[in-house]
Amino acid sequence: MDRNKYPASPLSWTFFFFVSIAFFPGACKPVIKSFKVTTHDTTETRKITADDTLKVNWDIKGKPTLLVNERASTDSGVRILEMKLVVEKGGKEANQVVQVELLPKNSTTSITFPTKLRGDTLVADDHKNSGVWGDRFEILSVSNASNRLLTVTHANRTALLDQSGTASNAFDGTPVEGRWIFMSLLTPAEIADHSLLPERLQINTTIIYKRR
Amino acid sequence: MANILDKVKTVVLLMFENRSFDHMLGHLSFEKLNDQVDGLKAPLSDFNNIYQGDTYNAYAMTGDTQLSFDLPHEFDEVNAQLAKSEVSGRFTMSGFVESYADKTEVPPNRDAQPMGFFNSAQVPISSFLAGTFCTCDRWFAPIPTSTQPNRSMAFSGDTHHHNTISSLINIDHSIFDWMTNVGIRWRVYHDGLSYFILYPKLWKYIFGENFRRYEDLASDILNEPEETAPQVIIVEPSYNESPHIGSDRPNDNHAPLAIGWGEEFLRNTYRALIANDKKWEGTVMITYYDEHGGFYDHVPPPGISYETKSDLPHVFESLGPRIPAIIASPFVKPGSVCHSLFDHTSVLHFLSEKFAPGNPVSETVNERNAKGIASITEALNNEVPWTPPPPPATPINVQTALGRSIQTAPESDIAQSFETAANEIIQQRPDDTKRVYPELFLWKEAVAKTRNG
Repeated sequence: MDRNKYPASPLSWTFFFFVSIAFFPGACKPVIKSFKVTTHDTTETRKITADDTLKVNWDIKGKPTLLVNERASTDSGVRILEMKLVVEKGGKEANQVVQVELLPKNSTTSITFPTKLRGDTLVADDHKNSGVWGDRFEILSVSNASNRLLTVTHANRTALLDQSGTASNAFDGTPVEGRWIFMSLLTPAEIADHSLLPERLQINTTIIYKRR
Repeated sequence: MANILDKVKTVVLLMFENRSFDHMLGHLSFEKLNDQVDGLKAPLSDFNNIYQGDTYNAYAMTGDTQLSFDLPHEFDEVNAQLAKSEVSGRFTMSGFVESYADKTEVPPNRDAQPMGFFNSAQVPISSFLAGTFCTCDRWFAPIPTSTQPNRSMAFSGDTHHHNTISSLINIDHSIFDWMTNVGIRWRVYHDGLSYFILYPKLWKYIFGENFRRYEDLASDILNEPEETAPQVIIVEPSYNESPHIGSDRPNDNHAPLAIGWGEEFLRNTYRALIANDKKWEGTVMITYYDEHGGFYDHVPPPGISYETKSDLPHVFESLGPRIPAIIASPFVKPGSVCHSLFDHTSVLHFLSEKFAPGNPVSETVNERNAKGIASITEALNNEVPWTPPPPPATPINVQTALGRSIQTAPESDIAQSFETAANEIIQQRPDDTKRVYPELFLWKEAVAKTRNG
């Protein structure tokens, strides 16, 4: 993992804090109505990369304190910027935590969906969460991680991915977020015994940060 | 086995709130404290949930602080958490993060709250008791839903409701009726308002001499002669959702509470019980949780069904997710693991076996036993006396001062239910309430002043 691709410290990031605090004299309990971390164009995100800019907004009742901590994930080593908003009022506390992963410009992620059966075809489809991914990451390549032939559709493109795991650039330039559809024909054995059907289908992707 | 049952003199039940097995005790296998436990293991990527394409792994929490949210755990939300596969029909246990994201309407963090688990240092007393005595790693909540129905199953053997309601709860029969009828000496020690005030049919007991303050437990254990000492003791923590006044602080472990106060309560209870060597020789202390509280567990619950006893019955197709359960007793082997299939009715079956054979708490208890839910008796397989070690003396550091505001109207159904019950006993049984729960009058006065401005 190339440490040079990561920011040196949270201080190298630019934070804009938009604070809107509403006071209601009768209420004695702290309230966090919303706590959002967005990129500069108001798209909520949990993944950013070097030189990105974050806005932190909150709408609360009480006195806010924002605790910011940067650490490495214990399993993957990915840098995590953790922001904990603590609101005090009437001797009580409320808190909410937002974690943002600091990804290198080029990175990988998997896309996994639960399966359902449509005739003789296994289908897995959903949206890749835009609230997590924002709109800055694009696909470079995709590969099959399901050990079976997959037809993948995304952003008005369709590609056949063989089970060898060979990378395909069929989705180069498409956004990570948005709807993905994986389809796979059942084998004769699976048609005879549905207990053999996989409960998930998965692909791996290589992605790149693009400032649009 | 009959020989061991004969030696059992006292059964102590301590039920906490809303945590899953992996969340509290999954560390036993992850930290290799006990490889026999079916908990979490490296790599944690094998224990994951998926939500909108992303994968969320179980992770070790970094501290014990108040959580941001209570987690979803109502029946429809538990159904989403179990995530029954459309293709295999199996519970994949992969919907905890989805349920959480839907409830909070916040994009989940990489360390998504339902996937967090405590390490041994964060739950030192639970970890100590589990490591020292017997961990039950196949103990499931009786039904896949929330607090009230599961607690009704625990203390009645049946439930009318399939969800938690904001009013008082009806039951046809209770463990207290049963124990009284079959001649078992019993007592409840409550730290704060008793949960059982939610059942008007139990008020006759709550204001009787069988309900005592938790503060009396230690001295009663130490001083009360065996002939009059209770044979069944129910120990109640102070509930997060119930009214609080003064220095009383909740310690029932209901999220979003930090866990430290509950650990302290567990330590004090265990310490009180082992203080009398003679009594401990015949004691079975069962520490368990009403339900999983929305926290991840990796073991799919068995498909044992239950139909609620209401005019419009609700059918549950399975048990609920696993809950943490520990049996501390001289009758379990040190550091043992019991893989028998248990739920809360296993306790009722055990009480019947021990104290009133052939006289079940409810027919449902027998029916569930016939479907494979075992009696706690299965965990009691040690006849060699051994000395219980003292609990760790390590100070427990709770980083956040907790406690619900008395000035704030309750928001959850169960909090509303507690408040309704508190107001009802004040109105209907003022003298009894003044005697048993005098602080409720202060609470009511404070609430009235602040809510009316």
